[in-house]
Amino acid sequence: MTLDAAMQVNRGSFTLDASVSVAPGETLALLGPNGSGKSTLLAVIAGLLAPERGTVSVDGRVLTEVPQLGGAPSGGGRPGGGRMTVVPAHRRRIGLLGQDPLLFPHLSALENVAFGLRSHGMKAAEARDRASEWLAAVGMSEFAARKPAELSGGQQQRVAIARVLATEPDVLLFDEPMAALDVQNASLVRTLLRECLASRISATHTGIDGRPPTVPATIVVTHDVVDAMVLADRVAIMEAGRIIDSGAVARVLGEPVNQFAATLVGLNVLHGIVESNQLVRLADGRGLAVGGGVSAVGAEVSIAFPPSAVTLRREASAPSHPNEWHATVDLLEPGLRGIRVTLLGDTVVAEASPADLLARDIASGDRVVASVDPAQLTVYPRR
Amino acid sequence: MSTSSRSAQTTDDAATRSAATRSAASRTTAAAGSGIPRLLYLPAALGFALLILPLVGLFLRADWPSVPAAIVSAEAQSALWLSLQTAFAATVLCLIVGIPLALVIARSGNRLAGLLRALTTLPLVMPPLVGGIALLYLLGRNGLVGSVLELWFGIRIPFTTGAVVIAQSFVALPFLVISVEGALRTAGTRYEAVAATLGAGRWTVFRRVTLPLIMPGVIAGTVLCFARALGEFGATALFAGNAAGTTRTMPLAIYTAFNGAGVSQDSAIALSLLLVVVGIVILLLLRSWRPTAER
Repeated sequence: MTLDAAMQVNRGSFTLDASVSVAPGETLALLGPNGSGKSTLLAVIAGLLAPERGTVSVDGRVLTEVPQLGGAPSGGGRPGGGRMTVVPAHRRRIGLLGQDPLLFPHLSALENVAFGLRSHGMKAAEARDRASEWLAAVGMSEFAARKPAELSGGQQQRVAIARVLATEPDVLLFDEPMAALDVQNASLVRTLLRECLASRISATHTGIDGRPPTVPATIVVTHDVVDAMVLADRVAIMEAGRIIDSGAVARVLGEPVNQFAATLVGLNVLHGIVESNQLVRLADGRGLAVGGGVSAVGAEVSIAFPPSAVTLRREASAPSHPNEWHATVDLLEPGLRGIRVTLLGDTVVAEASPADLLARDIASGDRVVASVDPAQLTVYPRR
Repeated sequence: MSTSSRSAQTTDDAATRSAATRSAASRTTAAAGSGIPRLLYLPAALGFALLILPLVGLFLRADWPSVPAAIVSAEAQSALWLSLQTAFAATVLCLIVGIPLALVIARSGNRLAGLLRALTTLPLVMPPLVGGIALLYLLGRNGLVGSVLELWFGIRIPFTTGAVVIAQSFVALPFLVISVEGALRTAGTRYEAVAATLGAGRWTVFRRVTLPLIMPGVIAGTVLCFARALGEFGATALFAGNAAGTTRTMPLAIYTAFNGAGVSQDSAIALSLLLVVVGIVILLLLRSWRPTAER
């Protein structure tokens, strides 16, 4: 089923203004830090929140329709005129799984999975059989009789996945499903989710409510790049209530549009204008030698490179290469692959092993020369 | 057997030691946590004595040889039976209207909820006698609703067993509502939202998610509600009167025996003892039932 959603939500000084569209069988990862509006977007789609303005529809079935206040309601032949439509959550066929499994504490694992099926009017015996199959699919058969309190966080999340998949929703919404788990359980659950998303129509996926089986559209909200890489076909990046970039996973994660996106995906990004096929002139007047083969002279480009492409050395010799510049070490922090080094007054971040930094005798407050390896730069048109 | 267990102990030596350290540590924290200022034990003991000593006095003052006769007397039996019946009816009535009321309060906006909560708890801070008078002026022959009931339907409520139930409900309902509303606030609405996204309609959510989640609060509220209904005196006396067999519940029977001309106060004491014992038995029964419901 195709999901189309566009909305505006105001929360004091915060405004969510975003639209998403997800095809059947497609998984969109919404990547952004806490407070960027991702969960609010999901709440609007799930019908738990009415937007100030917006529409949500699945295969043309309108679930939310809130026309702009004061706008001309009769224009465009909109069905129902200017009236507000918000189909309640239980009639939307949209499944939602959050970071907290929220298994009903008074029901066993099996009864939890059967709950949604029973709510759709399935007979008790059939619902129990179907729930058993789903528990088996997530590897939780032996825990069917356990109460949630007797399960670990990872096990609870597995049951919650079975519970939401069992209702065969048209749209699947995952809100940071791995965020509350430790690293090991997170990767187990992530793998399970990938399998579930890849083989959506399984033997047990036979349709409920007398409807034929559907191929759902899926949105995974996360602040973790790994989730986007493993689970998604497409990525959208959210900053302060807006989607600032969206597209194929490799493109969005490899070619960040701005500093915010670059920080999120763990890269450095600089912007400039192509001066020759070897040199890009940056906004601050510095030149940066690039590997060659860049687009037309005069074009605006962005340059991305990993922090590990930046090397720092004590200021013994003056910068001798266009890709070298003076800097002052600000902070040393734990990084992805070693120690992250931030520089005073510079957005560029370096990364090196502790041994490397010790050998070079680099500490906070030192004057250093930073250099970037031209071979590790990715140059792409600025968006 | 002992050797094998000892060798097992040696192998698990490190684990045992760390466990011992851990328990020692937790004991230290417990001791530090229970650091009540010694001076406070005195008022605490006084408070406990205030609650318990009157009951002890009752037991000591009782003329035990005459107790059995007083308890099995027809009057006592009828009063006890009436008390249990009316308190049960009042509790059922409170559950039927109290849980929905608590739900409305818990799910209202802050200001409305505050107002509703204050009005709901009004009977708690009001003398029951005042409640009785208020009920009489509402449901009495010349009352606002009572006159209509009598005129149109020929129904007269005051001084009937029904009036006893209404008076008991009036004083007991706040206990149930407060208890259930607290449970509802603690449970929150997250489980209900999940249930809705799984396709459960409002009734299904209420029946299969909300009610089970708040069950401990409902049971606690039911206990308080029943206890309050069983002990109700003031509102009942004014609104329902003191007619043997129809409105003379245990508290009224005790009052009658205590003030009765020529009758010794011993039977009042015996009836009081009976009510205390009945109360304790009911509390114990519900207490033992509670953990299974909570699980």
